[in-house]
Amino acid sequence: MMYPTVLATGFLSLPTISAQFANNDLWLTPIFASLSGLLAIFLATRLHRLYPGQTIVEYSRSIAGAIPGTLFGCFYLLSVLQDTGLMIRQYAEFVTGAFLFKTPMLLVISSLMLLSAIAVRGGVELLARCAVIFTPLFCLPLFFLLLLIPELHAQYLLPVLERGIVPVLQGSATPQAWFSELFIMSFFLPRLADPDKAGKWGAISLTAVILSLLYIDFIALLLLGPDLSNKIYPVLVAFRYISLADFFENLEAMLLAIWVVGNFVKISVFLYVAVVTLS
Amino acid sequence: MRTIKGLIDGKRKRKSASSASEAPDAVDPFQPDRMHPELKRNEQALRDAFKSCSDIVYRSFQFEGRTECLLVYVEGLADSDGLQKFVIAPLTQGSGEASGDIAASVKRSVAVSEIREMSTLQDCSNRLLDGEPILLVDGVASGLALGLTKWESRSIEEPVAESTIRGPRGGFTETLRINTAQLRRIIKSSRLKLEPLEIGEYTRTKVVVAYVEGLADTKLVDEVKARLSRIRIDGILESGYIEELIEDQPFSPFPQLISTERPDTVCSSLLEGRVAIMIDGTPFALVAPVTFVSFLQAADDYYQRFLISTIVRWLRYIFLALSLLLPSIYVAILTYHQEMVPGTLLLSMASSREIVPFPALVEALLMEATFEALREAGVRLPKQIGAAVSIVGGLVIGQAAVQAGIVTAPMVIVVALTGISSFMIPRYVAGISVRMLRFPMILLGGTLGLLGVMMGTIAIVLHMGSLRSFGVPYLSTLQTPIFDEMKDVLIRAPWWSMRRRPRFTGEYNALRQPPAQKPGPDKGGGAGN
Repeated sequence: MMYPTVLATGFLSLPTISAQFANNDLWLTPIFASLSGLLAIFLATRLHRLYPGQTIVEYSRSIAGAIPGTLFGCFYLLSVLQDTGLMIRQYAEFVTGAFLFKTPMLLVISSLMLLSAIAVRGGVELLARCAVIFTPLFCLPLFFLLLLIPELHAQYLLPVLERGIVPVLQGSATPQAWFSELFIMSFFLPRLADPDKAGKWGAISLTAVILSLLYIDFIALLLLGPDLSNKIYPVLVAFRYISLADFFENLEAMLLAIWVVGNFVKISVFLYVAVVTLS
Repeated sequence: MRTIKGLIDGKRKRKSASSASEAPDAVDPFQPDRMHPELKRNEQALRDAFKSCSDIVYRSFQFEGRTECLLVYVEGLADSDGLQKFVIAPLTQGSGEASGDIAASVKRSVAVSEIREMSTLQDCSNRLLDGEPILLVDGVASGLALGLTKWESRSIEEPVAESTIRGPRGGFTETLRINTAQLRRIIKSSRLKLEPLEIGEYTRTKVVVAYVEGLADTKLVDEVKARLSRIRIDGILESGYIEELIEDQPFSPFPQLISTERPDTVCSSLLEGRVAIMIDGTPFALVAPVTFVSFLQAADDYYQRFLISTIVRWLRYIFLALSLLLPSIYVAILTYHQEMVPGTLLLSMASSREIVPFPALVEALLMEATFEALREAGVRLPKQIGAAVSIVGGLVIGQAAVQAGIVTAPMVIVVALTGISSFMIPRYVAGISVRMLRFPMILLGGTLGLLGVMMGTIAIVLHMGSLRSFGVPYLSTLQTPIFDEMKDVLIRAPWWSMRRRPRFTGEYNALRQPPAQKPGPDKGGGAGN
């Protein structure tokens, strides 16, 4: 469930952002960025062990006291809401910008919001069930990128760490924000039947996220090379490149499909968190 | 609900019932009191109750030449030959020996295996209406219900709606007892429980809740019984009545109970720990709980070789997706994403579209509606005319419409393909719901493109995710990626490896069979070595 949450918005534009700093070393960035994800999971599980059955908003009051805790809760609520709004906007811009040029953005936004609201209303169980079903749907099209293997140029990888480690670290500053979204799992921990496994599964989803980001970074880099940092949606470009037997061409609509699914899960999760925070 | 006090008089009875605070379900014009010892009064009460019922037969005779007896039965429901041979003959030709208790000697003389004593007129009339002849004896304050029921019923035939290539050919009939006997013939265990219920104020339809004790979750059985006993309705004519009255989410397009006419399907469900509801008067039994996947599993799957079944199952999944999504994707691509179509194909499609006046969306809706109409017309018509309809539909609508330039040939192909694929779903009801959902999907595809199709899919999955069938999540086998459960979903595992029963139907007796049953020549015991 966390896997599409983190990755949904991430994989589309992250390669570009990191590439602007790290150039051809961008594939290293997820590895460094994952440190913050690790920290988030560690914090979430540990805090949960200290205050079982409570969300962060609830136990922040017992940690910091009533007033700072409430303030923190409000702050968290605002930030989650803002994140949600940002994601929806990003999603709608992508859809209207790349596919449905004439569709009003309001329609795109409201339709997805409606679905997410229904999902959130169904509760955490429904969310989890949908996420489990959608995750394979979300991952599968990524393998279509393997069709690009003939187009990949390994020499773009070189030279490794030409300008030292600093640009890589700078490049990983942005992805780590995505990884820190893993902290959201603290909102789901109280609802789990078996919270002991949460740490393990958090780690598994973290690894999955790292691997997928690495995979996408590699594909984007090897395909586009130095041009990468100029593209807004490198994965979209990559999908456009796919051409197999003159039949499988222009598969970017597939990307749209997975993008919708992933975003649906992500927005639902954030909305759920916002709702839980508010309550 | 038969405790309302009142007089035997029908008119006053009705008045008192409607004025009473209880629900107006007092259709039984009898007082619940015990019967009168005097035969005349009992007879009068019965005759009053069954006024203008021409099918009730009253036959009076004398037991051993002294005691007045009255035999009441419904013509056509009772075995009149048997009555003559085993009841009237022995009673009238009695030896005349004096014995103290008349009731006991009557019972002794009657040569019928099943005799039940009814102490109220209410019970008597119920038995009578169930087809059992009632014997009333003067001086005895009870009636004897004789198990001499016999009526015309259909013989066991091959189920029409669910035929198999390999598998038992017998289907359920309209008679409940024959159906339960078929279950008992398969599951020969005292643990197969068949609990009776009666539903319907007027029809008093017999309903049996069947389950295997020790396999079915007791909570599930109780829930099924509780939901059934909540039903208050005039009559149950088909399992559909009950289905609509006990399902979890009445507004869902998806069926939440399996209805089947196959005894083997019911039995395999019972052995998986499910509960079956058998209803008198219909060859369809209901099975609960179900998941969505169970609608995609046919009885054949378990009888064919497992490799073939697995492939067929996957074919079914693919075509399920096709039947739901193909027309909408086609419309979406044609309207918004032409670039996805390979160049040569696009050219031929564009040239065929050139002469067609409608946009793709209208064209798709038109053709799909026509197809549905054809299908529906074919179902209702007699077989001979049905063939004519399909010829007219197929040739005229398909070929001529394309030539006349009203629809494009690719659209006809798409519609035909979706039609066929929707028939691949083994359960007819599930196929209908998918076909129904196709129309909103086409609309979405025509307005929002592939985005709309994805939205629709998400909405459907969301809805299915929130569905429950008797407490079991509708998508439960899909949402828990446990390999043991997937053995019956992703593949049809061979029987020697399906060791566990489905987890969701209860924790009882999870293991189906001992391990290591994989056959092979090294197992010994045969001439195979």
